[in-house]
Order: sequence, then structure tokens, then C-alpha cells
Amino acid sequence: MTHKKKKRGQIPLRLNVLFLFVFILFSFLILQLGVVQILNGEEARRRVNETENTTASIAVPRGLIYDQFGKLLLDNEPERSITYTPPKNGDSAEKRLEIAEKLAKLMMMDEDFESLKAMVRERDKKEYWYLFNVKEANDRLTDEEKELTTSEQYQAILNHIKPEDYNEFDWNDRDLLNVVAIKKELDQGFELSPHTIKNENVTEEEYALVSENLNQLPGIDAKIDWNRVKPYDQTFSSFIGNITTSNEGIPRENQDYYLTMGYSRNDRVGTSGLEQYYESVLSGQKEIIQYTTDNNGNILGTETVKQGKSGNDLVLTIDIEFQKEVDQIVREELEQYIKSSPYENRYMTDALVAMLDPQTGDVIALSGAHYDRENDQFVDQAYRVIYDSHVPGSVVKGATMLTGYETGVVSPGTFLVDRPIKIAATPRKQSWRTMGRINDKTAIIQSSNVYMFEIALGISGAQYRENEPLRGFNSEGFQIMRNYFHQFGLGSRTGIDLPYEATGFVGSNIQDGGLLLDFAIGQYDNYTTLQLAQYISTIANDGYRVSPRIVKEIRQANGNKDTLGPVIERFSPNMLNRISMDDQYIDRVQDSLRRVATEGTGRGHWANNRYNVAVKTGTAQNVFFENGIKRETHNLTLVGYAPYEEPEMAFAIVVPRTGRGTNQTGIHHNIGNRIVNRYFERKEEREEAGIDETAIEEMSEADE
Amino acid sequence: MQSNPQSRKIPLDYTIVFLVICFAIISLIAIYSVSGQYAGGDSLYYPKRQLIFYFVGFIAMAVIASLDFELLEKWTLAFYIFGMILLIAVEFIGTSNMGAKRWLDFKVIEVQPSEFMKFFLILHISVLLARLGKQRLRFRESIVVTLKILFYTALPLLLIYRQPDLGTLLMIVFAVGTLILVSSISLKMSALLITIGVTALGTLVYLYFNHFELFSEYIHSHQLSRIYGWLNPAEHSQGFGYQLQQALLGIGSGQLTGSGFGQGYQVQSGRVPEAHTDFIFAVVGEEFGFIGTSILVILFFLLIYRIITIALNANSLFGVYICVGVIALFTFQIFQNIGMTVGLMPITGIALPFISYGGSALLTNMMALGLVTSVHLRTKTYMFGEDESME
Repeated sequence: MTHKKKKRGQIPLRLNVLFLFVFILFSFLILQLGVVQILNGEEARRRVNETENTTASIAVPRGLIYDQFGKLLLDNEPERSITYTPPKNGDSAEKRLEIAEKLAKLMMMDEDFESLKAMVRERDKKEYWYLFNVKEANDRLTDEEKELTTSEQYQAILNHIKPEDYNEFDWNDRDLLNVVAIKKELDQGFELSPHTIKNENVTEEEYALVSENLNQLPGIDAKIDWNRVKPYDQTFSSFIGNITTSNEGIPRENQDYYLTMGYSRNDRVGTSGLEQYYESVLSGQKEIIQYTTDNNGNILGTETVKQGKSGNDLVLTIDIEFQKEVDQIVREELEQYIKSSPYENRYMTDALVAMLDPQTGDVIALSGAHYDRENDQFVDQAYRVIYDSHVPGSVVKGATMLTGYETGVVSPGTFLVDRPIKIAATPRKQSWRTMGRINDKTAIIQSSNVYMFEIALGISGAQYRENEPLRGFNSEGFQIMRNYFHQFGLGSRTGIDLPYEATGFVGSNIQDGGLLLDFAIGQYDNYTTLQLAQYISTIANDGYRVSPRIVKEIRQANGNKDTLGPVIERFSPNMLNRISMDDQYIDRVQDSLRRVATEGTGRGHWANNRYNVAVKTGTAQNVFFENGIKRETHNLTLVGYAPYEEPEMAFAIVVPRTGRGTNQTGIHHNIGNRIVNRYFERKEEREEAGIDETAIEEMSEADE
Repeated sequence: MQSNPQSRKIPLDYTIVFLVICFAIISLIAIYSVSGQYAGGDSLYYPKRQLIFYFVGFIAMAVIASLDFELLEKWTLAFYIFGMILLIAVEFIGTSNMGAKRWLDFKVIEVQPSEFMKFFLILHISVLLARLGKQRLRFRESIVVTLKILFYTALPLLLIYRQPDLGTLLMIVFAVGTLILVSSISLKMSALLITIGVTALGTLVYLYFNHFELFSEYIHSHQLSRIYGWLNPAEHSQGFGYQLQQALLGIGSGQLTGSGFGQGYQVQSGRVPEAHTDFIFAVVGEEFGFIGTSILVILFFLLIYRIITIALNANSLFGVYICVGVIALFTFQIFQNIGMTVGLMPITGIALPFISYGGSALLTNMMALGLVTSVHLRTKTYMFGEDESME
């Protein structure tokens, strides 16, 4: 044997060394496997089976809204809903179909056949067919498609499914459509998040049937969801606002914002009005629950990580009953004017009212009636008070006069001659009657245009000579006047607690001196009704401009709709600025405004009003073009406050596009008189009944 | 033992056939277990194809086994040149996949020339070494042949490095190194080569830790990320490190008996990537436990053992070297693949021979076994050689 080895050289030895080497390598492997599987196996198994924690958030009821006397304006109405919460990692498609089939026996997605049919799209039909023909559908994949990612592959599979395939099923079969429509909702669920299958028109029977069979329907739940309901219907509705449905979820355009705030995609959020502005107050704190699951998705336990908190309630400054009355007054007056002179008032569509407490900024009422001429209907469009701007006319003369005093162009007692003004190549400008030599008070009381023109001319440094162009006109005059007007809120934000507000329209031509004269009498820039209300409130409040607000206080939800919870925050008046004019100037204008009602242009409508009202009237030329044809109408405007001595309410009324006949001048005065009277009458009624402003405190819980 | 070739009907070695059938069964079970998550949920797609590959492989093995391997001796240079042409073709008209240009697209079939080249190279070097005879050469005599071998090896390596395909490159270096060490060249030369190899490896390690900028110039970034993943799985838990960690967890959780067929949570949930190809061992490990993995490793070991036996008995030196080359290739692939799934080796895209899904790798491996069988069948036993067969 040894000699043979020699003869064959050392090859066998080397092979044996190689074999030994391989043996050692393989021994290493076995050894390492032993370490991994036997020594550390226990630990690895524990880690694989390790329970996973997943959190889910549960929606809490949204806050309610009350009026100042605790009347419920926005309620949560319970709504039966059927939801599906997929387990960790979701259910398989077969499992979802099984659930859908069981559920379909207990409920209908829609009783109406056509809408049921519309719910099921082509893709749903394909997916349904695929469930029964997995093998056949997969066989249609080309080898290339088999290399695709799972989702691309699924899309490719669906693309291969043709109508003749899925039409094997009878798509006119109600029960089948119902199953597929349910499955479609199940498919949209996301692990551990409740997804609403149906929440509208769930009948009591369906709710009961599903509830009874919950143990056979894994992941399905029958719950009570809530719906926003406005007990006063349209009244103040546009300011209360709306929220999205759970299917709409958070608005796409602000998705990132809401997601970083901890919202989920199907959360309902405010999209307008107070619902949007006070979203963070109303939405509350979602309850966060931590699910502990094993790897098969079985829930081992739940733990509340963060206690949920219902949204807080809002208490508004308005008295809903009074708001309702104002709405009715505005609508009645509008209707009466349109119906009594349909031709004269053929362009008239709106009547707008804003009422504020001048001292606190509290909104008393915001009302807008709109005539839908095509359908001959009067509808509530109160939002126009904040969003629509109109040419205001002479109501702004108080601001013009104060600007005149402040700039030194006129002083208390300055006499000027009211006579027609004629600038070369422009129409003659004059007051409603030529008044001759008048002082500043008369200028307001009698609503002199020419006195205001003189103020504008003085501010802009222009020299007027009859029938000649204005000389030395400084266009800075526009900015000077507008800056002062801004102090009253004319052309600036009022600061109301609503998500959007218009700031009016600012004329862009500042070269034409004639336009500055127009500006001075409210015939150039446009303002919203709310801006006019803030302007008159500022004068009424001795020059202090406060922002209007609709919400008086935030209260904690107490689970009882009849009483209010403890106060969380009570808003104090938000003063924006004090106008720069001296008290004596403001007093003088206030006095003039009072005398408008007693002896001036408002005398006819206001002299007999017993609530000591100060007003300023306006009749603006409103020329607009309709289909290229010039239409000439009037904007009737009125601002005022009462009582004159200690104002507690201020108002602005705008009725755009009225007829120009002399018999068409009363609507704003009628509205004004009626709302002022009703305001004080209601107050008197309350006093007689022994209910005072603090009545609300009695109904709230003893909290402080 | 009767090993007279004339007495055999089928030109096969029963031990090898038995082992391959075992591999086929294990492979099909493992692939079937996890392929539900691939190929659009058609869990039979991959097993069916693998079965076909096995049939084709068996036929190829039988055909090659029936041929006389000694005839190859004259053709190895031609094969080598053919292989080089293919590799050069890859350089110019090859198709790329995931950053590596390794394939030639012949419309019907995609060919990976480096798969063939490793065999052609081993065959050619076997011929070169066989010519040296069985007696140890002196150092001076070894120089020429060593340089020759290094030259033949360096050319394809350069092209494979450019593709890049680090796994195949290392596999070839390992196989050629094994062949040289087993051959008759002088021990001094062997020692020198080992020293050079160790020094080179040591330099790389040194550069990696101390002069990373130089190191990274020679290593492609996707290879780098694999090395990172290997060295520090926790920190690179998004890429390869994550895959490795998940595979390790899966294998570990198999413990002694495994979680059972189709029950491996890690391999079934997609946490272990490529569970039907590169990480097939994780499937065996998680679902069949330590018992399953050790049986598989022992089967591999038996295969190597059988080839060693054939080599020991062979009286053609060329045949011996063919066996050694095949052993080196198998050993490297098995150790590298299993080693990577259990964290002993860095991750490279080397499949587990006979078990991983894949036609071309299976085909080449079966052809290798065909060659080995051919060596075995043409080993002549002499009447006075009983003692030899008793070894």
C-alpha cells in the first residue's frame, strides 16, 4: 500500500487534506447552525413571535354650538353605522369576500337598484371575477409580467380580464351587486382603523341584525356615529359652516397640514364658517388606543394610551330668536319691494344687514336675503354680508368729515358754499340740492356732497375753478384718505372670527382727481356690509375699533345638551385700534349723526323712532353692465346706532340695485326701523320677564 | 465493488443520482413552500419550472457522463477562447440588470457567460496541471506553469470584475487556488501563493478600516453596501442588513424541528427577500429546523465525499483535477451561500447549488456532476488493485 502511494505521488494525500479542509468548513456550518438554531433559537423564536404594538385613534364627538341664551344651534345627531376594522396586516381577499357575503344577507348597501348598480364599477366586477378565477387570470400573465412587482402585476392581471369574463355573472342580480358593493368598502379598510361601510339610512332592522351577528363577522362593528344637525335649519347656517363627510376626509389641498396635526385621512373637518375657524376647539382630542397583536394579527390586548376628549362647545354672541326675526324682516321687506314694483326693482336681488355691539364687537345679527329670480324664491344668503362689497354712498361721510378735521382742511364750524362743481370735461357734480353756505354739521345732517368734495380737494391740494381742469392735484390724496378710512375698518379686515372675509374693492385709478371727489362721498371704493357696520360702531364707540366676533365663549362639553359645561375661555373685546381723531371731533360727528335722524335726511323715517337713534343714509349710484347694456340702479345704504347716549347696538344695511324711482327709497329705513324696534322690544320683554343677560350663567353648571 | 463500465446499462453513478434526487425533493418542497408570494400567487409556477430544469439537467448529466472526458483534453483551450469571446461580448453588447452587466440576450434564452467560463477555465487549468505529472516539481520548474495559470485566470477575472460579479470572481479565485495547491507544483511556490493571497486580503481589510477612500475605489457601491450589511446588520437595517437579520431570525426561530412546511413566518411574509433563490436555505432553516439544515449540509458533504472518492480512485490525473475543480466550486458555493444566511459570510448573489430556484445554475451544476460521473465510469480497475479499492 505504501509503495503504491509513492508510485502515485502525493495526490491522495493532498486530496485527503482537501477533504479535511472541506470537512472543517462544513463542520463550521453545522456548528454555526447549532449556535443560531439551538443556542439562540429560543430568543429568535421569541423575537419573531414578539407581539407588536399598533396604535389606532378613535374619533370623539365634535363640540356643539349654542346661542347666547344656551339654545342649541348645532347638534350631533346619532347615526347608525356599520364599520369594518381590518386586523393587523389586513384580511385576505377571500376572507373579505366571505365577510361581504355574510354581511350582504343582513343589510343592503342601497335599497334603490339603480344607485346600487352605480356603486359597482368595472374594476369591482373584474376583481370579483378574479377571486373565482385566480388560476386562469394568473395564467394570462406573460413571463415578463410575472417579473413585475406585486401591485403592477395585479394591475396587469386586471387588464387581462375582459367584459366577457366578468359578464359570466349576472350584474342585474341585486344580491350580487350588494355583495360586491360591500366588498368594495371592505377593500378600502386599513389595518386597525375603522372604515365606514354604510352610515346613511341604516335601518333599525339592519342595525339589529348586524349587531346580533357580530361574532360571525370578524372586524365588523355596528356603531352609532354622529351627524351634524342644525336645529334652526337655515338660520345663521352659513356662518356655522360645514364639515366634510368621513368619505371626503381631510381636504386634499391641506392634507399635509392636517396629517401633521394628527388627523387621519378619513377624519371629518370643518370646511367653512365657525366649523372651520374653530376646528381645533370643536374637534377635540382623539382617543389613542394601543393594540397589542401577535404575528397572526390576533389582538392580545388593548390599552388606552391617551384618553380621548370631546370637542369643546361654542357659545355665540347672537340670540338665535332675534337672528330669526331679523332674517324674516329682511326677507319680508325685500319681498315686498320686489313684488310691489317688479319692473322698477328688476335688478334688485339682495338685502343685507349687519348688527354689532359697538362696545364689544359682539355680533348681534348677520342677515342676508337673496331673491332667486329664476325660481322666484327668497333664500337665506347671509354670507354676502361678509363676502359681497358694494358702493356705499353717503354713509361714509362721517369718515370723510373726521378726515377733514384731522388733516386740518376743515375745523368745527367751518363754513363752505355748497354749489354745483364743474370740472372741465366731466359731468357736473352737486349735492341732492344746492345748499349754499353751510357749516360742517349741516354738511352731515343734510348730506352735502360738495362739502365733502371741498375736503377732498383740500387734502389733495387741488385748485378748483369752474369748468377748468383741476390744477395741482396730488394723487397722494387717495392714499391719505384711504389710510384714515382704514382706521374705521373701511377697506381693511374687520377681524371677524370666520375663516374668510372680503376687504372690499379698491379703485385702481389714482390719477383722476374727480375720482377722489367720488371717493369722499362713497362713490368709488366698495365695502362689505360688515365693514360699514364696523365703521359706524367705531364712531359710536368713541373712536375705538373692535373686531366683530361671533363666539362669546368656549365651554367644556358636559355630555348634556340642555346645560352648558364649565367655561374654558371667555373672549374679551379685541380692540384693533383707536382712530387718530380728537374726541371733540368724534363728538361733533356723533351729534351730527343724531341730528340726521331728528332733523336731517333721515328725519322722515326716524324722527318718530323712540330709541334715540343716530343714523347716516346713503343712496349710491350703482351703474353696472349686463350683457353689455348699461343698467342704472341705486344702492340704498344706512348705518346707525342706538341709543345715541350709550350705544349698545350699531347696524349697517345695504340694499343693492334698487330702482331709482322716488317711491323706492324706503326699504333700508323700513328694515332699520323694524330691527331697531325689535331689538329694544325684545330687551324690554326680557326685562319684564325677569330674564337678564346673565341668565345663561344660571343654566350652566356651577363651575367657577 | 464491481465498477466495470461495460456492466452498467445507464451511464450514471448511483450514489450521485441518489443524492441529486434528494436535492431535487428538498428543492421542490422549499420552493413550493414560499413561491405563493411570487409569480402572482401561482404557487406552482416556480416548482413546475424547477422540475423541468431538473429533468433537463438529468439528461445533460447523463449525456456528458456517457462521453469520454479524456477527449476534452484537446479542446479545453478552444473552450477557453470561446468563453473569453462570450465575456468580451458581454462587455459590449451585454444586458444589464440591477447595475450589473452579466448577460447575453439570445432572445430565446439569456446566457450568463461567467457561469460557463468558470468551467472552461477549470478544465483548461486541469489540463495544464495534469501535464506536470504526479511528482512534486522544484520551485524553479513551478514558476513558468504558475505564471501561465495566473495569466489564464487573470484575463477572465478582469472582465468579470468589470461586470461586476464579485461572487463569481471569488469563486474562480477559490477554485483555481485549490487546484494549484492540490497539484504537483513545489511546496515553496504554494507557500508563496498563500502568502501573497493572505497579504492581499490583509491589505484590503487594512484599507477598509484605515484608508477607506482607497478601498472604495476598487469596490463598487452595491458591493460595499452588502459588506456594510454584513458587518453591521443593525445599523443598515433598511437594506441588506435588514434582509440578513430577518433571515437569521427566521432560521433561528426554526430551532430543532422547524415551524413546519409553509409555516415559516419570516420566509412567508416577505421579510426574507428572494426566499426561493438566494435565501432558500432560510426556508429550510425556518420550516424544517436544525434537523432539516443538518440533513441538507450532510447531504452536501456526502456529495463532496463521493467526488473525493472518485478522485482518489481515478487513474487519470486530468480526471482528478476535474474532480478537485468541481469540489472547489461546490464547496465555495455551499459555504458561501449557507454562510451568508447564517451570518458567517458577506452577502453575495451566489445561489445554493441544486436547491435554489434557477435553470442555468442547476444546469451547469448537473453538467459538472456529469463530468465527475464520466471520470468515475472511465476509471479502470486492475486485477491486482484490490487493496486500492479497499481504501
